[in-house]
Amino acid sequence: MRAGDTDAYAVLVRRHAPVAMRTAALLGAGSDAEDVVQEALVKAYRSLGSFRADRPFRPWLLRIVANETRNAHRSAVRRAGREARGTRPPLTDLLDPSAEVVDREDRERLLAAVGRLPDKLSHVVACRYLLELDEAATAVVLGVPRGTVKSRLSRGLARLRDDLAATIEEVGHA
Amino acid sequence: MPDAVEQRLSALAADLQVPVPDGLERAVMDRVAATRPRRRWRRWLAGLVAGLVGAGVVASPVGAEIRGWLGLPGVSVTSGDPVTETPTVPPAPGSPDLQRAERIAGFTPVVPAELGAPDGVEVSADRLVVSLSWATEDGTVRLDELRGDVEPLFWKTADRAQHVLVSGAEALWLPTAHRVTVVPDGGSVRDLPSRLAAPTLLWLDGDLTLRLEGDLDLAAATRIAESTG
Repeated sequence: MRAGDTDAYAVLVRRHAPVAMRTAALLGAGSDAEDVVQEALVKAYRSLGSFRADRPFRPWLLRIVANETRNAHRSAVRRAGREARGTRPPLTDLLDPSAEVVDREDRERLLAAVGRLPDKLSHVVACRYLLELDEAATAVVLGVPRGTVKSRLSRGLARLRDDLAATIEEVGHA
Repeated sequence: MPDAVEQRLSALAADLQVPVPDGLERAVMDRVAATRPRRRWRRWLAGLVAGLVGAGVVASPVGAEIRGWLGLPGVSVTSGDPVTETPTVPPAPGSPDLQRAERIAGFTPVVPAELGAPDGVEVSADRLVVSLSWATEDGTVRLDELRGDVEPLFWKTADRAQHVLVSGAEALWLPTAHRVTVVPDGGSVRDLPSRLAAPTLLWLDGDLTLRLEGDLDLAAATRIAESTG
């Protein structure tokens, strides 16, 4: 093993670790996010042979992260039975606690609503808006056709609009 | 047309904070050190970082070249054929409002005293690169600035490159016209227009990667680069 190869991979790790952590957290890895990302980065290195250099690296890597997140979640459910379903930390934990977030309550409500969506819809919404991936990259990361991304996105957004309208009404009545 | 929910979601992205755990890179690299990548990747990697070796200017092992590349984050140099056409340096089209650029890009653009206040300032659409330009006797001089910890990459194909020092730190001098492509965040080099670039000096200032381009010789470029401190 020549040192140079791993040096260069260290650059890629440093460059992409933040978005990989974000992806794992948003797709529901919870407290397993670090393990998931570590596993994904090692797997990515081992499968570099199947990576096509003329394709974008990031969606390819994030797909591995998404798969690892799914695996971790499955084994957590297996380990702890049904209880594991309730143990996922809410997405609202991801709001930057130190920054002066404008309209914090509003943002928490929105994030909570994203978290309440069925996984399939929330993952597409998270990829498009919170990871800022385009439709093509979202399709790669989630391993679904582009048409599916489109339809899930519009269903996800529609549900969010309904959900938020309902919350606001409740608040209004309170 | 994005509606309110879409806009609110987009705005939310900036307020999320998922820190990278301290030991993560270490743990990954320890495990990776025990494995070996497949050959195809090695070839690609060599192409990505070893332009200088290919050009025969600096004859050193690939590992050393990779460290050279490491020293200039956000820029990749590959070897390429010499270019015979004459490049035109594009001026930055925006009004010379540095404060506005700082607000949009989130970092303070460096201005070399040697050149003075810029005539044009532009922030790229993805808000990652700030470009300054000056109209000088020798034509347009352009300075692109980006934070090294973000993409895009400036992807350069040059026939010659030389390690030099700017204020005692490692820098890269591309003395001849060469192709340059900007690779957007997460993008690939395919389908992107490249343009012909004039001689270019690349160096670092704090966490910024700076790219000075113009009809300059190494001495003039170095003088400008060293006047940023």
